[in-house]
Amino acid sequence: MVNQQALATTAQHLSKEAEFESLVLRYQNSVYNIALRMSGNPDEAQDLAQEAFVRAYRSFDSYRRGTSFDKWLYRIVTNLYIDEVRRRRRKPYVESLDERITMSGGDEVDREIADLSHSPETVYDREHLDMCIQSALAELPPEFRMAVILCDIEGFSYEEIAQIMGTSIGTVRSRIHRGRRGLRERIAPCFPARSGEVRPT
Amino acid sequence: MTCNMTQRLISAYVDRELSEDERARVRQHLALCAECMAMYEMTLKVKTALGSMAPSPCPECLWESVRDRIEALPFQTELERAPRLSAARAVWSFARLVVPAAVAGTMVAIPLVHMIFGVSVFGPAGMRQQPLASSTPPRLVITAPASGELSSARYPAARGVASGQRASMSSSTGLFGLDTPIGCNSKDGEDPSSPEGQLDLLLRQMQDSSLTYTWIGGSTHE
Repeated sequence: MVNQQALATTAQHLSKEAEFESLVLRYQNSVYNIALRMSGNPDEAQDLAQEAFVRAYRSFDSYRRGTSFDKWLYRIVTNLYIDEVRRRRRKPYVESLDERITMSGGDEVDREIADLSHSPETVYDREHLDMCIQSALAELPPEFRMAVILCDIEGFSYEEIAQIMGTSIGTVRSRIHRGRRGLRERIAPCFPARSGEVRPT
Repeated sequence: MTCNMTQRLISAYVDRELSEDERARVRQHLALCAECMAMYEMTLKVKTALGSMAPSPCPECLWESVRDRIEALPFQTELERAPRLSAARAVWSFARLVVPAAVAGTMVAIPLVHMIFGVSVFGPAGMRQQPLASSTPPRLVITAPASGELSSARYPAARGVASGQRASMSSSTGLFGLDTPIGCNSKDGEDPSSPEGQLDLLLRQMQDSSLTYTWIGGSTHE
């Protein structure tokens, strides 16, 4: 005899999983990207993103339908990432420049590295600047790092960040101010010494 | 507005998170101060650089690994989980409030009851402690089967024995007693009045397994 309760439970479970899957697929790039900027390491970022979604699923029942899912999700993400990044300490992603690169066909080739020291124009190279920013971000305390990432990369307002991080707007303003101050000092050498490009609005 | 104040507001200025009044004052200061202007430019560059970092594509396997872990979770629905959680939570919150209060209350009550009523909380029910100044010394009650020669006798406790006092009789409850010194039953010619002799007699009597012994009141130590 088919147990009606078991059937209903299974259907409920499947529908919950399907709903959750669609939300994961929608937000996974953003959640992964924040994890990558927080940790600076692709493997750790994948672990963090996976853990964040598993945690979100476990408390999915407490998410009130109709409210902003992204804020709810980013709150989980924020709490997890700040705790985990602080716990794991800073383990920057290191790739040896001397290591040979394995091509898709299985062949190995030497890595060719451009000498940037005598080529100021290439300092603007996107990749180089990204690396510079990433290492500067890694120097910030996790709370400042997360506030700056949510503001500048995810584009949230201070009020939204305050909701996500569970703090006041004043605290968000202070964290972003201090985070940017740290970034300015570390990223400045990555920019060429040009001024007068930007005027206050 | 000073440079210090302006520089503290520059990030919020760049993010357009200032009030109109603050915004106007920062703008006014920037127009006059090259140092703060340079800082504003650098802050804007940092923000722009962060916003234009190349997004890293999410690994395609992310959802698969999440799904695998979700499917490995215990299979529970909200309906099943909610009552259990709320009941456990209710018990926990009740216990968290009541248990410490109960422990503290008990720790206060025991010495109070002991001091005020003289009732030993840990002794047999209703047993009263003898007041310290009482004239009745602590006693050892020895109870034997009625058929025995000595059905029951009461002996002073160590304090009384050591001072050479005699055992008092009690027959009011049908107990047979002795009005002689405790050493009167001595058979070995020991000095029955000496503390050692009295203790020896007491120990020999205690070897009779048909007797039961109970200390009443006070401490056995002087």
